[in-house]
Amino acid sequence: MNISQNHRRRTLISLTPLIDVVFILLIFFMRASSFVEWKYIELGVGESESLALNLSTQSLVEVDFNNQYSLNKKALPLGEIINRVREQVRQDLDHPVLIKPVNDLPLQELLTVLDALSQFAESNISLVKDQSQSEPNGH
Amino acid sequence: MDIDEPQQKRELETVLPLVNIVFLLLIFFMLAGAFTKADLFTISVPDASADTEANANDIMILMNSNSELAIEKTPYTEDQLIDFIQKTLVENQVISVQLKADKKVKSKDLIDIMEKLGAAGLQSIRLLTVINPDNSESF
Repeated sequence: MNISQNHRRRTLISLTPLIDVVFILLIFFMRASSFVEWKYIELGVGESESLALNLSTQSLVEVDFNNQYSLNKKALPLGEIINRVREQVRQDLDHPVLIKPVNDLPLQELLTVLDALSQFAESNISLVKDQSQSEPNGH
Repeated sequence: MDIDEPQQKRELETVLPLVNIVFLLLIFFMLAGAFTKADLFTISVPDASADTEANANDIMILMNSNSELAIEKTPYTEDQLIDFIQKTLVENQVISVQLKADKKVKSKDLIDIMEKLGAAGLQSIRLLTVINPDNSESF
């Protein structure tokens, strides 16, 4: 009986701290690890003023609130804009694509267009500031 | 002896599967997870279907929903950030810069900082996104 009790105590002492340490390690690795897969869209950076607007050689995509888009000042659905710009890029691989969002447009909404265009024209895309809106329009 | 041994065996039998599972979880998190540096801001990154994987060695600029800037744990003003980029460009000639901007950042603020980085000598910037499986249909 005595031998058995000693044996039992020894087993408990060796197992409990082990589980504690493993649990602490597990919690540490769970908190410190990240499984997020970061992706990126590459954008050319330049000053809006230096990007002269020439609609015959560039595609200007304007993005407004409520998913309203226009290509070269003509209101079109996004799918149609994507098709037209893709055709332009197919003819000229260096065809510049300018995206001009309204000033207060949240990034997530801007990314809808940016994402679709970057599939085929990533290196040609530049963002252009909307110079016409000096004041926020209350959206 | 005869009474004690089955009881001890039963205790071990109940604990061992737990230890096994905890060990397996620990090994999973150790191998599959990647350590990430804690950022100064909590940033909700926009989702997109971009599939170019981000490089962990690039300089990462953080921009929260109030358009405040930081690099890792250090807050930067616009001017400080421009100085930092200019100094880094002088030292390294070519640098890759990632912008981790919140999905609520206003387009105007985003384009402002991108223009200033362009004026500082940067050619392009990588806008960080995460994958959204619902958003992956192509136009």
